[in-house]
Amino acid sequence: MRIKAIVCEVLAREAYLCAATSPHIVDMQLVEKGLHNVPANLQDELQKMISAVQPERYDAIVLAYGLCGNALAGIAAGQVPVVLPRAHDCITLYLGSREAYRVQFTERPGTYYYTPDYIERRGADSSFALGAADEGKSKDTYAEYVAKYGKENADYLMEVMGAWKAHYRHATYISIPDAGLPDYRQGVQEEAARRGWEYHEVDGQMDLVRDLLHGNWDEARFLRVAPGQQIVATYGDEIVRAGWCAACQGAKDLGG
Amino acid sequence: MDDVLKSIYEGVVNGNAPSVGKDIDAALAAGVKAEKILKEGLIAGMAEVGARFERNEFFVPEMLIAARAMQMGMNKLKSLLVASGVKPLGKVGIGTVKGDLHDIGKNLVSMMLEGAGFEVVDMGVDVSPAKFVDGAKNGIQVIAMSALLTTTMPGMKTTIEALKEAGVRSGVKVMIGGAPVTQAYADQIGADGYAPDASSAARLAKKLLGAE
Repeated sequence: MRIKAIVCEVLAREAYLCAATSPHIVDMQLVEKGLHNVPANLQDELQKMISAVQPERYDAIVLAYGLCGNALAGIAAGQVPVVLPRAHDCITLYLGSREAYRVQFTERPGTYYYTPDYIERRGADSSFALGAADEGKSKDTYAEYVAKYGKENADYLMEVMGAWKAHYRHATYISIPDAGLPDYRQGVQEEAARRGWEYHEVDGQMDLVRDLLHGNWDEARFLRVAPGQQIVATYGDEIVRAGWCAACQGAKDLGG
Repeated sequence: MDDVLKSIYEGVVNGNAPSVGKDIDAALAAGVKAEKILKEGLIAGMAEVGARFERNEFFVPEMLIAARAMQMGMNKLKSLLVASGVKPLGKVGIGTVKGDLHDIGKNLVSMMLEGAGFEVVDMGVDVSPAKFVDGAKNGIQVIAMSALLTTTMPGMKTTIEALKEAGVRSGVKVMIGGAPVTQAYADQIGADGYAPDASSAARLAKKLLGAE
């Protein structure tokens, strides 16, 4: 089987490791991580890539993505079937299962997660943490606010916009044991100390990424989206399902 | 409109908290009633802010500084309004659902509701279904829940179920919002309404209480 893998760049190292040992031929395309800040942009970008995959060349497209703030809900398969893990976001993919994520999420809410790919692909001057990629822009933002709204209002806006940090208490570094990935724990420890967060380490598991790229797509952990179907969020345990879609490309080929 | 009321209105729209404070002092000294200042200055100002937001002329920063100016005014008027028996449009209890700690959107909705004339009980972040149920038993008429994560969205459903179990569901209206939340989800879990942004949230709350 020839697989086209569309992979968020925050999973690059894990995906490369797993693609190398796949029994299938895997062609990988990395996607910029910042797109998730505006879910509609991420959706457009992924849909374009999926639609551009040549059906004569590939048997399946795999998405190394979670539901990602609903960005993937509504994405339709083109003429090639699409497979994705049942996951809310990349943290599930790093930890290897929904169960592992649920344990982390329940035991330590208010946690910021850090991983090697996220750290080395962050923008200059920005935070290490997942999802905090825009922090480096804060100086420019402050100057812009002062110019537009005056210093008093600018101070207030920075305080309000940065208030989310007050609710976070933990910094957790996820790395894959014995995978030979670069070690960034020291930087994470320093950032945790600076913010007054408790530092933790968790072993990542590559099971989900590996099985995605190796073609082991059991129904419990993966969703198959056939031509003529789209991804639908369920807000239940299964996270996503496939729904028929009259407007989807390929729908008429199946009479659906 | 009196010049001073117009100035309060403009102070709110432009997010100028100090000038709103000064103008309200002047208006009160000149004998303008607190209720008139509230309605024609603060609430009218926030309504204009909401309208500009919906026309894409204002964005989150403009709304935040306007809401701050409005709150500065509200603090000056609060005791006078209570003393003169002015009733709020209704009582809204607002919070992010269990497990969700993201509250910028919730805070903005809370300020817009206050700016529309509601009494707002801010229940904070990570609010359990039991806490929302307590609120419903204690005079809250509208429960407003927000979630930023698809992981925490099911907390909205469990809260509605908890309200039913406690026998208080019919006594409250439930509205939901947050980046991944949709009208379809509101329908699926039996919420009374969904609002895509802070400005329409204030309008929705009015509609739910028949105050529009």
